[in-house]
Amino acid sequence: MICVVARLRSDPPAPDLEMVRRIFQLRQRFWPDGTPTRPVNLPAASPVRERFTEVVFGESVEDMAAYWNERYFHGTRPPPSLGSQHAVLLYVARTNGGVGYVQADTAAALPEGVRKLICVGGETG
Amino acid sequence: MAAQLPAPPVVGPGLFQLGGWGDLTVGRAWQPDGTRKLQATDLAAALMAWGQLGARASYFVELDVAKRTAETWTGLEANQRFAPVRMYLEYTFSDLFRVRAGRFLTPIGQWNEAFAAPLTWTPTRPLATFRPFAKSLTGLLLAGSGDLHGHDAGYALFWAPQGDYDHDYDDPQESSFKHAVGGRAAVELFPGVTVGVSAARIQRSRPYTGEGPEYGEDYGGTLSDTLLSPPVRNEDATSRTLLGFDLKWEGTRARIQSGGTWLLQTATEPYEGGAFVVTAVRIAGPVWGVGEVERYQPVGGGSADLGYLGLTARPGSHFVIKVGRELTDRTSPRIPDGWFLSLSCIF
Repeated sequence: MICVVARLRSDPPAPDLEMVRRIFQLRQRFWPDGTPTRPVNLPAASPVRERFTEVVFGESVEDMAAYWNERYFHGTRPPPSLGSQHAVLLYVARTNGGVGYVQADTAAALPEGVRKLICVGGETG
Repeated sequence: MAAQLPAPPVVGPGLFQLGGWGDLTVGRAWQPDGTRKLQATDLAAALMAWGQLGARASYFVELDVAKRTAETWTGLEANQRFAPVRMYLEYTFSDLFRVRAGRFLTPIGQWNEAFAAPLTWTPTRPLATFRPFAKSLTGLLLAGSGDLHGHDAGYALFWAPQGDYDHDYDDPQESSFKHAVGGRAAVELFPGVTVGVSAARIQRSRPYTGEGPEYGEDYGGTLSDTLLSPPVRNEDATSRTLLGFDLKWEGTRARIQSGGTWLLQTATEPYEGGAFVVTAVRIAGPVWGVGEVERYQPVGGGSADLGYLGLTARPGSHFVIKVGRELTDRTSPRIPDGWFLSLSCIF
């Protein structure tokens, strides 16, 4: 199970996988309260990222390259990658509008201000 | 995959990013004397710079340098050009409302905004994706995207108050206009399936009539005289209506792109337009088999049936190799035909 976590000034929006998809494809740039979304990824080789990409986008990390190539021509690069799940939690905790994903057991104890938005998928292998 | 919504925004990171792309296409091009010659039909490079000025403002610049052999209504032409394809500032009020000012890609159909060689499946683009309108406009654009009853949707509306023309052609009567207003709306109907519609009013500065001296003899009489008749300029500019549709389906093993654009007939100008379908099927790994059919009616009547069969390989995310054969009946304005090899890259 993978959980999407975020730091928001207001109440978190209702759990919505489609919104998560738009945020991580950088097509939704603002939360409902107007705060800019600031998503972060795990490294491309991370099993957690592979599982997240498969569940949320229905594709492999490699297949997503075509989407990012197209967006590159419009001045958009994929969300930055952080080295570990703990780094993701630290980034989200320190960034208003920050959003990332970690395994459910990592999300069991979240830093102050970080909230769980939605949990998706099964075991990450 | 995600919907290709109109006029995507710049999304970071940082104040200044630099990138670009390049393309070399080699083919056996028809010459005005009716012979074929192996030559680089397209040698292009583009430099792009972009950045975000805070969370809501951004800029984008694309400068293209190209040496290109292009077939226009007036015959085979080669040109060398340096053109600012994009140069704009954008301010984002919300996901639903962005304002762009400057020079931007015309949001007609999906593929004028994804025109770069590394993004296309075929060495030459379908005529309907660029022929009836200018690649870039200078003016204002409003755009936005969001959720529409559970579907991704977006729009772009443009207003270009001053004359412009497509820099791909030396002859400014190609796609020239004095004024243009229009837009595109698109929605992802199902995961991987995007449909869009476009409409515009374009005031040409040198409208076509389709009448004029015949060029057939210049090509050894093997080409359609009608299709190669050069346009005659009218003195009075008239407004024309342009309509378009586009469809994209993207699966893991197969992809389909389709679209059409039509410039409607007026009292002084004839109908022009056409539609196409491109299908790509994954053969193995990064290698795709690609087929295309298109029917296009240029100015002056007559319709051209075009086809393409080939292979496209995307080894890694930075290189694209295309090899294939353009199939025409030699009455087509899409000249040269025959075998093509294209190498393109992203940097």
